[in-house]
Amino acid sequence: MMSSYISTLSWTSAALNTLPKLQSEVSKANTEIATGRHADVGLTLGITTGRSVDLHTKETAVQSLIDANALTTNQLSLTQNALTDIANTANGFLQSLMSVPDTSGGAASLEAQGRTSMNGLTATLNTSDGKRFIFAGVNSAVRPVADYSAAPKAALNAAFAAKFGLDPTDPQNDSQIANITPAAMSSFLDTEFANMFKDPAWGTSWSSASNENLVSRISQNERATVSTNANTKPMRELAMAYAMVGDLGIGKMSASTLQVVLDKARTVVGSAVSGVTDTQAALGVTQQRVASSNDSMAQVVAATQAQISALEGVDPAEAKTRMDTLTTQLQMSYATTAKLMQLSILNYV
Amino acid sequence: MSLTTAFNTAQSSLLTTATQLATSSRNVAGAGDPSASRKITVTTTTADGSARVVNITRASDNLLYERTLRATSASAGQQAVLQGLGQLQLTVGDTTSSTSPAAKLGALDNALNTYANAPDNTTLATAVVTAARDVAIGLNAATMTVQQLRGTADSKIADAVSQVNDLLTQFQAQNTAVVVGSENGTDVTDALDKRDAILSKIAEKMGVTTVTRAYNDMVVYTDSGATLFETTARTVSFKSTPVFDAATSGNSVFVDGVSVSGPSAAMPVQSGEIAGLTTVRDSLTVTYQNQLDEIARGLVATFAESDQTASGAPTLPGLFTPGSASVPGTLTPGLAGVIAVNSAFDPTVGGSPALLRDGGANGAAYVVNTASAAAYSAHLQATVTTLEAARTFDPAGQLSSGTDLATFAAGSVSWLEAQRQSASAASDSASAVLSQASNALSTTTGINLDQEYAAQLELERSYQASSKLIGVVGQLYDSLFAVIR
Repeated sequence: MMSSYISTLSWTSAALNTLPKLQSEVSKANTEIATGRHADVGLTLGITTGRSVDLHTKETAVQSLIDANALTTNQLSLTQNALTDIANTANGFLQSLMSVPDTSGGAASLEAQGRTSMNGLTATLNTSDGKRFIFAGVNSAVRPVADYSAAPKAALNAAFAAKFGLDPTDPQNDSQIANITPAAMSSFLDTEFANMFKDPAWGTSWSSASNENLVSRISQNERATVSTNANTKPMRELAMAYAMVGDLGIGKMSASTLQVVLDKARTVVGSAVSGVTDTQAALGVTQQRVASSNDSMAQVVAATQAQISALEGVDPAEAKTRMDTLTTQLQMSYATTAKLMQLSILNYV
Repeated sequence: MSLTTAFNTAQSSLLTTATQLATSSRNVAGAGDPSASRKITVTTTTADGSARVVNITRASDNLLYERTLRATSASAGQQAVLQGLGQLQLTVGDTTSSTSPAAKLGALDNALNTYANAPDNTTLATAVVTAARDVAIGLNAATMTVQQLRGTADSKIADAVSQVNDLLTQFQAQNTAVVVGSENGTDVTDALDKRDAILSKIAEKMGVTTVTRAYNDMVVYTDSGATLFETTARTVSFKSTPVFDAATSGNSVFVDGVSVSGPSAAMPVQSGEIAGLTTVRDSLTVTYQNQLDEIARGLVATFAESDQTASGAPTLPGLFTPGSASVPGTLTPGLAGVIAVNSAFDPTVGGSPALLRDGGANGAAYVVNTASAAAYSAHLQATVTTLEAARTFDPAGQLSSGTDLATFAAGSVSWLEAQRQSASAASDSASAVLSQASNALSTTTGINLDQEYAAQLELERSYQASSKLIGVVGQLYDSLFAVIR
């Protein structure tokens, strides 16, 4: 009876059997060194793979929000520029209103400035970034403000002529303007004229913009209003003041009536200028929020990437060490197998 | 002791040595065959002092052999499960790839968000529809992969069953040889080796337990207790299903009329390839398909259009169509296979992607953007909110309900990879057990060439000595006869 026994097959195959296992380990370590990630992320992470997928999705989502914010920022600064433009024109107009003496001598130049400013206002309100009209609210495909010389002027002429019995074709040049009393003018300005700049008249003859502003998602859980529109109070007031000075024939008015118009115009422009400033401030806050949410989202991206690499990454140094150990093991396995194969009693008998 | 006795002893020694040499040669021949066991010539000394061969046995270890059988079954079963999960994993890919439904959903969400920020941009609208088509095609392809995998598993079961039947027939031949030989007292070791090898192959297909009766007659049961072999081979039957869809359920494997796998198994086999394949076909793929179907249902519901006019019109499918006219409210098997992008939205077939912003794919009553504002974002933002809102999911998906769609889809990836991880670990440990058990068995019952050669040298000496003895006895007789003459 033999005290110990081993079959030739298990003797020689013991070292051999470990080879495939070692080889696949080497190939795994090789991949890990090359990519810095687990060779089979899903197999290594198991139940936490979903977390990793989630993080990848989140990273892309935040990145796409940052990209979209670039467009939002562009839209906001375009709007700000336009508003600055409008405010400058309004301020210039206000200065002229203040400096012009209340006589009909300066009235003609004021009338001209009123018309130019009106054209400037409509042109600015119709600014487009090539894709949308930025003052149109959500109705961004349609030019927000009608050409002043068309529908708005016609409506104004009709109202003006009807009120004071002027020539409906060209009321501005009717000599009867001189007979309008300050009281009548004041009443006209406060009712019929003012009504043209209120809804529904404003919507039919002046503006096709929407009252509803664009709302954008500027971070993962924040939405912000990123536009203003041509229907806001300061825009109507500016249009009203420019029309008042430009197209009521102030050159032909009596001094006292002119005084009423200019007083009214000063009040309205003053209010409009402060209104425009308020709008600019509000949009400025949004710009600030976009900028700060961009900053925080950049941090989110960095943090997400760190989390992903904590989940999926491998230490290359560790992988390299493992690889070296495996290679040594593999060499030993080969050597042992070869040695065992050479051993046979036949060589010694 | 007479010279004749010495002569007889030497003669029987020669015969015994020859038989021992023959056995040793058989051992040398079988050294490379893992299923061959070491043959042992059993000798005895007779009353007159000569050695005689009683019979030939083999080295065996029943406990180790049964352990090897169990390990073989377990390893084959886990291997089948792991391979199936590897196929399923193709629908998910790496975490960085955009293959998985979760990643495609994320892309759709991003496209929708970008479009909601600039609803007047038709290019972005088209991008949403493209992302949506990608999701739909991804779900369709995943469903196809899952159902093909079920079909493959089913046909592999059919192959395994026919192999088992074939092996049982071979088993019967060897078992009969063993029983007859044992009754007659002849050498049955080769038949025993062959029978063991066949049984190992059967164990790869399905787990077995054995009982050995008189004359080495073996009875084989499945590990669940159904009779596979008793004196004669029992029939294993299976009717394969040619094409699988989500609503198909595969047939059972029957052993001797008893169902041992599949939906209504009375005695389900626990291990072996058939058990593993059945797990893949009836459990893993079905659960995964349920998850895909629930993702599809979530998408259809998210983008469904509701009546805007209070006229009581039903909620109808919007961007995603479920292959039927209504929005499914419960788990619908196969939905992920038929989900498609509504052609009314698809610009490549003349649709208008702006319907995403305006609503109204199902008629005027469903229009939300009644003023036709180009930058109308409320509807889009509402859709984004719905997409990111928590939903109820069917428990058949085995994932937590009350999460949003993206989390559910990511959960599906988690589920799959967790299954794969545990199957891989189980497969590794099963194959380690198998390799250890078969190594132990081979160590105990295998053949050692060096030992055989040493034994042959010894036998050679013994043969020489016996021959010499005969020569000496002959010479003695010669001397005797010379004296007589």
